[in-house]
Amino acid sequence: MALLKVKFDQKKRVKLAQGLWLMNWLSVLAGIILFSLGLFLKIELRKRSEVMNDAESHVVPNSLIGVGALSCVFNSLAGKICYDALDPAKFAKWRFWLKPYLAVCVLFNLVVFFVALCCFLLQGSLESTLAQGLRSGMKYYRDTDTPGRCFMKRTIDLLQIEFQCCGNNGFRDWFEIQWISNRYLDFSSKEVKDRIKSNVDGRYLVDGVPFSCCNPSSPRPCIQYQLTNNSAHYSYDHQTEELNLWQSGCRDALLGYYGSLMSSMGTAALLVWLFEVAITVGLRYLHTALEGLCNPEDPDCESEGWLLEKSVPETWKAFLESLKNLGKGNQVEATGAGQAAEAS
Amino acid sequence: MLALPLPCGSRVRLAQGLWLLSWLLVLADRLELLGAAYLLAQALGTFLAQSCHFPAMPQAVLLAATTALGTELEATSASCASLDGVLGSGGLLVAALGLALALSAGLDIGLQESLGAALAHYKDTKVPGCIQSNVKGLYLTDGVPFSCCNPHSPRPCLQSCLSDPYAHPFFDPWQPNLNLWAQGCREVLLDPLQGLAGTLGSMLAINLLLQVTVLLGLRYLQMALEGLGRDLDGEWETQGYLLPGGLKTACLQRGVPTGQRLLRCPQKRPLPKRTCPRPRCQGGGAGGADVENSAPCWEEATQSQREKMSSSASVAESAG
Repeated sequence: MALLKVKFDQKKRVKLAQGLWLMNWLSVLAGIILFSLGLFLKIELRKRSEVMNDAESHVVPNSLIGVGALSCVFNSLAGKICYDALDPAKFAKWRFWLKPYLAVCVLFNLVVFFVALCCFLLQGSLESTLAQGLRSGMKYYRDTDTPGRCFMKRTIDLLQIEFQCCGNNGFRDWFEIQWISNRYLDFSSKEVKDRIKSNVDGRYLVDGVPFSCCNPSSPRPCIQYQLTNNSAHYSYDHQTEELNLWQSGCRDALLGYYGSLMSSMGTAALLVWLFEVAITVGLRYLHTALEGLCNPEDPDCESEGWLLEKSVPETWKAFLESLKNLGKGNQVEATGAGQAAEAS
Repeated sequence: MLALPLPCGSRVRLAQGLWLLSWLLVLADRLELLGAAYLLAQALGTFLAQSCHFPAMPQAVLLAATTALGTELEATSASCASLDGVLGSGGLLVAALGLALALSAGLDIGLQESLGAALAHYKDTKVPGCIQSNVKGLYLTDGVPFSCCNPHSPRPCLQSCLSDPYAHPFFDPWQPNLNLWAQGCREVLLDPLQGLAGTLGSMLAINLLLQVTVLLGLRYLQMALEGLGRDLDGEWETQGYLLPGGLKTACLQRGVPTGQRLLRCPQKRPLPKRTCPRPRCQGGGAGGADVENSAPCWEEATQSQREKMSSSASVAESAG
């Protein structure tokens, strides 16, 4: 009992082949779009690899690039097959390759689905990478004269200005690290000496933040230093003041940015997956309809197309049998060779 | 004036060339529209004083380009009515070009004024719109807002006490450093705007040249086609020209005072003599018909042309 049988006459077959040809070329376009989306994500990740300790995983963009390229190749080939399908002479050369090609298509569809899922699920690993990267980035903020880290200050400043964020989780992260280089501290001053003595590691910690945390929407000039001291500034209450500095942390801001990018790419990949499934199903019907022609010379003959020749459990049993036979076939050959060796 | 013989092949090529030029002009006009709209948006978006008349330039270019677009689309059909349209839009283009040249100079002053005003009112964050300036006690400091800070500086930004060399350790305010942005906002805003205005001006000039070419070509084509009479597919050679007589006779025809007439009081113009309409293009048969016989008939035929025709007629009579 064939699965989802459909009757095809000549007209229907022609329409199916033409529709599939068009869908394949649209799918090639979709593959190019996926490829460029993957490339864009890769470039964006590379741009900010400094705040991720160069440890970010490129699985998602690489797989999108691969899937896009493969989709272009497979779908242009399928388009050529559909184009030749209506001419019995031309179709004869594809006849032998169509069944393995359909198997490859099914595998490819599974891969596309997997990649689409990855786009959504791998955002969590990005969060931990970002947290660690930002922490070390802020630690190296002051090392503007250390080779290899001299641009960390600029990177963090530009990041905080662009993403409108401050610190890792919030602006208080800056209170816990020394972000002013020793080079610009006057160690003969009493104030500096007091501060350095006041903590175990001998760091110059201030309750202040870099200028890039300042919010231009604030009605008052930015208060950067002595943030927790209400009496240091006129008419200032640090607990209720909200507009002075950026309130969000850079980890959340970056995660939101990359998360939205990856989610939209995952959605695009899912849509492409649905399209590919439709193409594979159509190609299967075309294949079985053309195979089932009663008289190959007479194109007007009616034929039937189906997805599977037998029902699903029967097909699965037949598949397992063929696998077993493959194994048995090897054994038979081995014993046959052994007997032949004994005989000789 | 400036007569040019135009055989059938040349007429066809002229018409084709004009068609192509018209479509090129349409493209150029579209680009100008986009450029002018962008420039207007930029000029209105940045700090520009109300007294600055610079936005008038992109507005004029928008108007000229829209009009020219309409007339050029007509010109692609090479109709005679489009000639007047082309003249009109050409005039607008000249006006826009003039504005482009004149107003670019005013842009600099306009920006200077407006940026000065913006800085003076930086502190007025509670008083949007109608602004009060505080004359009695300005709190001036040798400090700058945080937005002047340069992120490329290796040192945390120094915003206050900038003129005091002892306020910050190891900081010499008179040495060049990366602490603050070195450029002023006026030059940063001015350069791209001026560049765009310059580009727009040169595009206008090219557009004007092309329009003049199209105008001349259309006039020649119109005169040549009129010479064919009713039979527009005729293959004989006709004359294309700018004006039927010289410049002076054309001015006299249209009643434009020339030379001595300009100095005299305006006199009553003599009534134009109406002549019977001459039969058109009678010599149309085999190949080379007389150029004179196939000339168009004018309601107010000029003296010289009438004389030419009568002399050729007498020559033909004596020969025949």
